[in-house]
This record gives sequence, C-alpha cells and structure tokens, in this order.
Amino acid sequence: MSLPADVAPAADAAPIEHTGLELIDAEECFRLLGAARLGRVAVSVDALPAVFPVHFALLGRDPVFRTEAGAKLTAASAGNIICLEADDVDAESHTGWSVMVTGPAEVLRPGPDLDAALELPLRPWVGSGDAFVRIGAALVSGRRVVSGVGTPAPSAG
Amino acid sequence: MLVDGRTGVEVIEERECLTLLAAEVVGRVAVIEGGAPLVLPVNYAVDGSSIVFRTDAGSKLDAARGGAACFEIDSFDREHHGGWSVVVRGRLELVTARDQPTLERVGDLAEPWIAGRPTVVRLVPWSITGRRLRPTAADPAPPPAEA
Repeated sequence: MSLPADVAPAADAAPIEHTGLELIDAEECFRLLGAARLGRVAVSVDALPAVFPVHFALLGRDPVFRTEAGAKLTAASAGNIICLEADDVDAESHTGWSVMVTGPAEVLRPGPDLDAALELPLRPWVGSGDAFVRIGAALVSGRRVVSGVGTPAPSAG
Repeated sequence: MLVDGRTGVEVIEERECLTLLAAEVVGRVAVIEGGAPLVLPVNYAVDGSSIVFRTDAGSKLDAARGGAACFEIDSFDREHHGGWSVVVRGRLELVTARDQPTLERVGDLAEPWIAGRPTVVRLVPWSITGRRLRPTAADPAPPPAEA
C-alpha cells in the first residue's frame, strides 16, 4: 500500500496511517490525556454500545472518573472493558487530536488507590458520583489531523 | 420540565435534541468491535432524523455497518458545572450511490474530519435522548422562560 504523493509524510515526520492521520505515540497520548478534563466513555450494555460524557483524571496512567448506579457502574463492577476517548477537534480548520484508552474497568475499593483518587480534581457529571471507576490503560492510541495533511490548509483570510 | 427519576437530571425532549444536533458539527460515535467498545470523533450532518458521516472503506466504522452504534454530542461548562448531552442510538447503514438525494443533501455538510473519506454511513435512530445539567447554585440559571 502506498500513500498518494500529497499525503506522503516527510522522512522525519510522525508515522501516518492509511487514513492520512498522524499517529500519536503513547507518551504524547498520556500527556494529552493528563491535560484533558472531559472525555467520553463507551461501555457495552447487553452487547450494545452506549457513550457518556465524563470528567476524568489520570491516576498514574489510568483514567479515573466518578459515577453512581447506572450502565457505567454496572460495566465497571463486572470488570468489563471500557473505552475512554478525549479529543480536541476544530471543525473549522479540520485539525485536532483524539486519544483512546481501552482496558478493564474496576470500582476502586477503600485503600491507597481510592485515597489517591479522592485527591484528584474530579466531580461527577451527575448525582453524587459515589463510585470511583478506574480504567486499566491496557491499550492507548492517538491520532492527529495536522493542517495540510489530506485536506487543503485553511486560508489565512 | 421533565426530570429523569433516577438521576434527577433534566430530560431534553426529542424535538430540542434534533435542534441541538442540527447546530453542531463534531460528535463521537461508539461501536462494539470484537466485544469491546470504542469511541471515535466524527464530523457529521443531520439528514431528517438520521446522523450521517463519512468514513474510510475498511475502517472500524465501515466494519460496524449493519450493527448498533451510539452517537453523542455535548457541551459542558466545567467552571459552572452546567451542560448538556444528546445521545442517538441506532443502526449503522451504508449510504449507497443509489441514495443520491441523501449524498447531495449532506455532501457539503458532512465534511469529513479529514478530506477524501469516500464512504458515507447513516445512523438510523431508534432512540434520541438528551439531558441537561443546570449550572450550580453559585451561578444561578436565568429564570425559566415559562415561569
């Protein structure tokens, strides 16, 4: 497979995948996640996808968010795989990034990890958010759209 | 005003959900792939009550055709703890060349996140729901229009 000439990366540029998006390495993914506050969590509910906005913060490399009874807590209690995505996409310029973390979820029990989570700048999206859910960052991937890759750069005017 | 009995959050009626959907251009779509959920940002357009977006042939979203998907948009003010989200659940279908009217209607609207994504996919909803959080008491909300 070869890229069209107009989207071929420079020799020293970040890797470009077949979609023309620049791949973000893991270190940069976690840096972006660490600076993000709002993400979207997807869980499988009876084999159907469901997505929710959450406030999250990183505990080490693992995203943590607060929730209460509902689909997210049910998934976490069962140790199901959860996906958290954070992004910053500019619809006008078609530039931005998206990072996705996927892994098994768990509800933090009383102990050092929960104590550490209680110190995080977290608030629940709704309700009391009594439960702290951690997503084990088993898989992380990120993609960036840079101006001029695959789309004309926006004009200055 | 409708309120979700479980969470106490204000429910946004479908008609207003559609208005909010029509005003935004970037959302996130979740699908199940190999038993695990994933979320991707997409540029989208509204066609009737369907959500239409572009993807690449052979992409994860293309592979999810015929299956269920969940699409979400939101706007959130962290400082005042107010915001809303709209969630569309439904089935992903390929928009084929035979559906030229749809392709023409959404052609300029569903600008792909990157150019050149040739496959057009439609999310045919079976539910459209929304919920809204009013800002916290420290920043009182404006009085309801119908008060």
